[in-house]
Amino acid sequence: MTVKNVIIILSLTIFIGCATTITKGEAFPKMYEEKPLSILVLPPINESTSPDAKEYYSTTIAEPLSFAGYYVFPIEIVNEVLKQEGIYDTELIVDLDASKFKEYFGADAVLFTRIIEWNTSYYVVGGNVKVHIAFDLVSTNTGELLWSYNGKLTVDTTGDGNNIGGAAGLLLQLAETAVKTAAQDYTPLAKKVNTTVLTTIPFGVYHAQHGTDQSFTGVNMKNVNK
Amino acid sequence: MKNTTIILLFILLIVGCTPQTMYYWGDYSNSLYKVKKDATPETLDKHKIELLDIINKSNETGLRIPPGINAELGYIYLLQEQYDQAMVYLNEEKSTYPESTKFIDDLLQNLSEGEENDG
Repeated sequence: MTVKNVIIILSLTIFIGCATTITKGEAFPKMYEEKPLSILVLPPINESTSPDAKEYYSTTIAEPLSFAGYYVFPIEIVNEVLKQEGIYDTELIVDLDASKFKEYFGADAVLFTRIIEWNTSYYVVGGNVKVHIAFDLVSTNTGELLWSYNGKLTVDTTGDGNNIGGAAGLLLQLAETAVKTAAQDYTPLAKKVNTTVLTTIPFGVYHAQHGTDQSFTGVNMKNVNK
Repeated sequence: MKNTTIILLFILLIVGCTPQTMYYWGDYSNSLYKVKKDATPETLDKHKIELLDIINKSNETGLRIPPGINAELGYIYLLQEQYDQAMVYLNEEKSTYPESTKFIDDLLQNLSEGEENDG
């Protein structure tokens, strides 16, 4: 292999590498300027066909967000307060001036979550379970978007029919698919999505690496919400 | 003396490099999930025990109590009209996380107004 070839391959590698992922500092500079301490998680906006998704998803987000170094307002209490105020449906307050959350809760930022998919699908002989969540963190000081990302996970729940051929095998496969799909819980998938997505949020003040993670790579521009 | 210094430095280095666990969350999310799925006095009681356990274990291991845990426990006591206990935990949230001061003060304000109305 000539030196020229090596250089071409190396520059290709660099090019491909740069095209897909960038650093936290490049992707979310406003996070490093504002340094929010506390995050108010609003009730999720549920765009999926599963009515339970909103309540169930709420149980998964406080823990990983705390590990990213943020103070997370107690979600259960916040939800109750919002219910009492008649604004539990985040869809209704998405256009509200974000500074209201500073005024009423003392929060530095609000996190909007959208459950895009929380669904089971069956196709001819198989099935799968999908969870897709989008996150938008908005400053209560400026109303600007500080961080945004989305993540999706699909688990194939197709039965294998024990490799029996013919109609008997197909029936067995259908039955297995139904059982596996029904038994697949959504929350473990949601937790994995949370963990993956939150690797891209700049660390908050309670994290040991707060303010020093600008050069962390792995932010995929395709997953930054438009 | 020189050797001791080197050994001490070495120990310091190892301790410094060991990643520290930030929080102990126990089985919080599963226990809350069970309350959401089937809200009964039993599931709520189990969740309350889980919250207490997180607080105790965090204290034993010298970890900061995770955000919201003290407040959530205080809120459950509040709903159960055990106001003294509620105050203890809500105030604990405030002292652990000063960012929560406004939020908790407003809750306590509502509580005292509620008590006046009751009385």
